[in-house]
Amino acid sequence: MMAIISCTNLHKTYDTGKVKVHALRGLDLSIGKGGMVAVMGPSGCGKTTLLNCLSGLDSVTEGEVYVENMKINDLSDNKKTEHRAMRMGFVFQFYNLLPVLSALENVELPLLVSGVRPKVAREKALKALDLVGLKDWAPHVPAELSGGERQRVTIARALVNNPAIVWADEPTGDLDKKTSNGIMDLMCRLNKENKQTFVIVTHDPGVAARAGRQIRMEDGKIVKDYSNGDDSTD
Amino acid sequence: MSIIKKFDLVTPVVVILLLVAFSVAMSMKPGLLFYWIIIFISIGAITISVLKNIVLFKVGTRNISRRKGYSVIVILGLMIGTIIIASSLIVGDTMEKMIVSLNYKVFDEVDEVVNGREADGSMTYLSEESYINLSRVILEIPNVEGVTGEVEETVSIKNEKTSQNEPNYRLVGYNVSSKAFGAFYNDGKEMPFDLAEDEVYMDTDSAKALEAEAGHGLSIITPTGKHFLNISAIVDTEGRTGWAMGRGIYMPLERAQYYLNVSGINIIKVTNEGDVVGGEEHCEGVVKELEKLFVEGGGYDNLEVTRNKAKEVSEGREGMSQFSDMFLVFGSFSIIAGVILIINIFVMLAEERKGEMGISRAVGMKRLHLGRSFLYEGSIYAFISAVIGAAMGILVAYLVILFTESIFSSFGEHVTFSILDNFNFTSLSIIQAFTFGMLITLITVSFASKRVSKLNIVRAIRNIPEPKIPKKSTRMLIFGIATLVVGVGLGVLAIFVLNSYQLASIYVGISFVVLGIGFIIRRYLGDRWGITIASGILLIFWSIPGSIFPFPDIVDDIGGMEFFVLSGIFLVSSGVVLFVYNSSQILGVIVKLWGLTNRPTASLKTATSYPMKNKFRTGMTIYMFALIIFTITVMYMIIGIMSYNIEKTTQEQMGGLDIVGIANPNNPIDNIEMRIEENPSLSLNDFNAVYSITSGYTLLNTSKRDPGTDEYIIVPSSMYGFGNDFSAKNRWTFNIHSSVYETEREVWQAVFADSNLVILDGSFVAADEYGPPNPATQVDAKIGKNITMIGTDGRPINKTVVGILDQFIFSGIFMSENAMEEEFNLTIKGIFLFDLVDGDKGEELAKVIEREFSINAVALKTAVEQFTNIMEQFFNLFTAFMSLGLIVGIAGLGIITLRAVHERRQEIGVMRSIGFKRRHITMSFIQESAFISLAGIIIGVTLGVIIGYAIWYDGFKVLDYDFYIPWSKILVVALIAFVSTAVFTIPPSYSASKVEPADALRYE
Ligand SMILES: Nc1ncnc2c1ncn2[C@@H]1O[C@H](COP(=O)(O)OP(=O)(O)OP(=O)(O)O)[C@@H](O)[C@H]1O
Ligand SMILES: [Mg+2]
Repeated sequence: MMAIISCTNLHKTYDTGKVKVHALRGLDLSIGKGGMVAVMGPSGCGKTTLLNCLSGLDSVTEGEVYVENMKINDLSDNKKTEHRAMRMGFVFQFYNLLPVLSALENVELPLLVSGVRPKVAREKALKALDLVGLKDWAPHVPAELSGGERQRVTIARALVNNPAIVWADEPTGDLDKKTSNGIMDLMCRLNKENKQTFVIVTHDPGVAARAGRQIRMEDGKIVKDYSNGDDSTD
Repeated sequence: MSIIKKFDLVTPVVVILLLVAFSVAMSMKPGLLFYWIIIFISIGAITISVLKNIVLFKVGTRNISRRKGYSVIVILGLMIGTIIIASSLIVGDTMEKMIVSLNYKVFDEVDEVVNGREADGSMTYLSEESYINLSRVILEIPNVEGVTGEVEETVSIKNEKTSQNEPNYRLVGYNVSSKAFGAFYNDGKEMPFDLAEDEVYMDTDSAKALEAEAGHGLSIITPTGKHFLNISAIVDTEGRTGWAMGRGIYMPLERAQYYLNVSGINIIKVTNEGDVVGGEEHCEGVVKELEKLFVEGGGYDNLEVTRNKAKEVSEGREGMSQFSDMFLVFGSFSIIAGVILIINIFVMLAEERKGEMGISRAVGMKRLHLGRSFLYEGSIYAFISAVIGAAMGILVAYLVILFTESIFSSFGEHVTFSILDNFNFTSLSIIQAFTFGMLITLITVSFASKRVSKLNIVRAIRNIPEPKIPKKSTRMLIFGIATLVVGVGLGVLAIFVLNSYQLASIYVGISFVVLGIGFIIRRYLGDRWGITIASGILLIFWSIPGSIFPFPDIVDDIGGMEFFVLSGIFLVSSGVVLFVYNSSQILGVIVKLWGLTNRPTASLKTATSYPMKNKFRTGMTIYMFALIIFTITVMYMIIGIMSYNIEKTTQEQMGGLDIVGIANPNNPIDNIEMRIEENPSLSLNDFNAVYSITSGYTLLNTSKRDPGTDEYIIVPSSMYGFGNDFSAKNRWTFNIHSSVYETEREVWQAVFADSNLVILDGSFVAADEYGPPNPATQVDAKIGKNITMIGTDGRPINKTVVGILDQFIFSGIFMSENAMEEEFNLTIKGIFLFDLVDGDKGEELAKVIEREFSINAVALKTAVEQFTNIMEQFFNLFTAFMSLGLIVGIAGLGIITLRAVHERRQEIGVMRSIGFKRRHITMSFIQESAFISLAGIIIGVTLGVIIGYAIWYDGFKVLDYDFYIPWSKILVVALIAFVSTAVFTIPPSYSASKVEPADALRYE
């Protein structure tokens, strides 16, 4: 099986001027194409940092990161951005949608900035919204949506460009059990049907249990890596 | 394609196009087609870019409608620059139109005026015969349409019906066949030139002063005595009587010659081909030809061209453009404040949207996309605010003109023109203002968008502030060295290349060197030291009066307006930076002092610590305040020093005199003391002393030679002959007098006794550099030396100077009345000086004297008060104009408070939940904004006073003016600024207290 994401000896140090925080302390990791990986660990152990470094949102202090056979930490900002727009989807822990745009427009955004024709973009966005069950909410702005609905719009946006990799940082954090299960069902289905790779940070053991592979972090290191064979969902 | 993808070309292209458009609008008066083409291209460029990035446009524009109140404030802030430019230009347009129409009113059909003066100051008369000969020659000059000879003398006129009189009005004798020079009109109806024997026309302005109507009887006093006349009609002050703006009566030439007992004419008016405006274009050629006729030996060398329409119109235009330049200079401070507000607004907008922008970047927006969406938003703001700003500029200009009109009307009845009637704006001015407004906003926006696009995605999403440039960065070192080199370059350029703007260039050069050194220090010792040292040195450097520095010859530039703007910017920037970077130390000292008597409250602590956390935002806001308050303070310093000293020096100069009376030479008063005693409306008990002075006019030989003829230059000068009484009692003081005499009184008595001695007025001291322009500046007058006057018969008269006075209000040569009679045969007492027992009765008694004796009487105190009052009114006008800038500052602070409340919702929630009362929350926000405005006000006032001192040192000290600080006025403005910021920041501060803890803590 080919690794779609891999890193060796990954270090990340935040220098705030006063103190240095070693958020990642030498990580080696390889994730296969079509895998579904859950990252767990106590608060502050470096989960979000890991996601940011792997996706190229943040620079690394030491080590190498390969995504789809490209050394991501060598790419120019514009190249990285294009890559994000076309091959990746994001669900963040906080802030997710642009408040001035409607749900539909938010979902369209990655397509439009990567040069997809407006008409095609609209079709795809509607389809993505339909997928998360929010087709009727398309014209609403985020302020008019509930927390769970917003998170689903975010997922629609993450999926709209049919990305190879979806990064999700606590996608079910604020949601009740039922909604959370619904979202997980959706992700598992996509992972299975489309062979898309999912990297999900979560505190919820229930959510983690549904991933094919569970990584446990502590203090900037991987302390446990449990896989049930292939990395994809059960 | 790939290049376009890499660089955002839209912004620079649009900015450059607008720059070109702006310079086109500034330079090309007609044919603005080119301008519109450029504007069209710019709009096209933006539109194409918008169409290609419609989603970015959506993000940008929806942000505008998202918070409408906020957008309104943004637009208000952006408008200021356009308003100031537009109103300054429109004031200029109006002033220009006024001065041009005033000139046309004065000249009407006349294009050139020719006359001459005799040695005694009287008008030269040309006999009938030589005038006819001359007029034939003049008519041959190309483009001359007509010539007319007239008589014009001052006479004393009294309206017998209303008893109003005017001692120095004009009697004009016109040629009844000179239609080419315009007609007389009564309510627009043309009147005949012929008049019955004892009839005259009177213009409307004179009729107003004399309360006269058609049919009223007049008496005039001429050299031949008193004559009675009737007003045939009141004629409009235009056309024929517009000449010299009315103030007179008009009759056919022969009648005037008869009443004045003269033959021939004393003024020649020439009209060129073309109408009132059209005649102007021939002036230059005609004047050249006329001057050829009046050269020496040509038979008419006692004549000269005294008035030239084209020249006066263009000089007037120039003078008026200075007026609008002045508005621009003062306004430029407000514009700078406005630009800072724009920067502040966009930086805050960016901060507010940091999270969203981080997301956008994460899902694939490139830097240039982010910059673009910001630019689109900015373009819309820029466009709306430039349109509204240009329109508001018209309104502001109208208010300025309205105010100016009211200032001029305080000149009294002698003002017969209206600025308001000439209110005018050209499309060019509006276009210039609009383009300029667009330009400054777009440039600011593109800088802000550059900053925005640089943001770090992860930091943005996590809402972590951007880190500072590390201390040890070599970038800073390189930057420091580069600045230093630029500074040295500027200095070198100033010395070797530039002719004008040298001083400014040297000052800026030195400042850059200091800044460069600051950056280098910063590299090794850190932020605070580098900045403190550089700004401290700059502060001291720009505060020191320029005349202390040894810059040869160019020190005069210090007075220049551009220099004032420069020094303001540098001083206030260094002051604010110095404060912001040392505020915790400064505050520490204050809190310590405070702590001795009172413990600082918790809210006071938060009030000062929050603003200091965000140095950029706080510094910018303080800067806006400081800059405006600085400018107003400087203005008040100048006006304060001037009015304080003018009042003081006039008192000193006049040596206790209260009223000056000037009689018409045809209507002398022989024994004024006796006339006062006899007059029932006056009492001698009101007067300490009354002096009658013989006055005359002479020519004075200077020590300078005319480079052409090598003859000594001759300048006209006044003469005064005083009597025994004056020499015994007057209180004028000497600047210097002959050491032969011990006391000043002895000097006066010696001059009274000895006809060979004279005293000169204070302007003769004034060497050649300073002081009012005066013939005296060309005469080398020294105590004990002779001066040479020219008698009426051409014979030189030598007199020895024994003293030079302090006063220069009466400028000329003082001698005994006997000397005036012996040498010049002058005995008529034309000037009367009154020393009152009660100085406050000056105005009242002056009126009585004027009425009873038919002389012009001026109460000096009132005159000075009127003058300083007008000056003060003008500064009030500028202050009102400056308050536009103050609005910027207040708006800025309002926005910041609003923003601070928004930003700190969660903190407020926490504070409320742990037991802070609503009142505490409100107070802490009010104190916070009060702290910022107070800091700005204190910095502005302090620097304003310091620069006021420098201005006094450089410009007023030589005039012997005292330094003076108009504290009360400055404090009033400071208080108004402070209170109005409080008023504007209370609502947002209050809204902070309404935050519900539960809501705030849930808020994302
Ligand atoms: N920009 C930054 N500057 C300084 N320190 C940072 C920064 N970002 C993260 N950290 C620190 O790095 C460590 C790891 O943070 P990270 O956000 O990756 O934790 P996490 O595992 O995602 O925690 P949580 O489950 O609470 O979201 C923490 O100690 C955090 O304080
Ligand atoms: Mg996290």
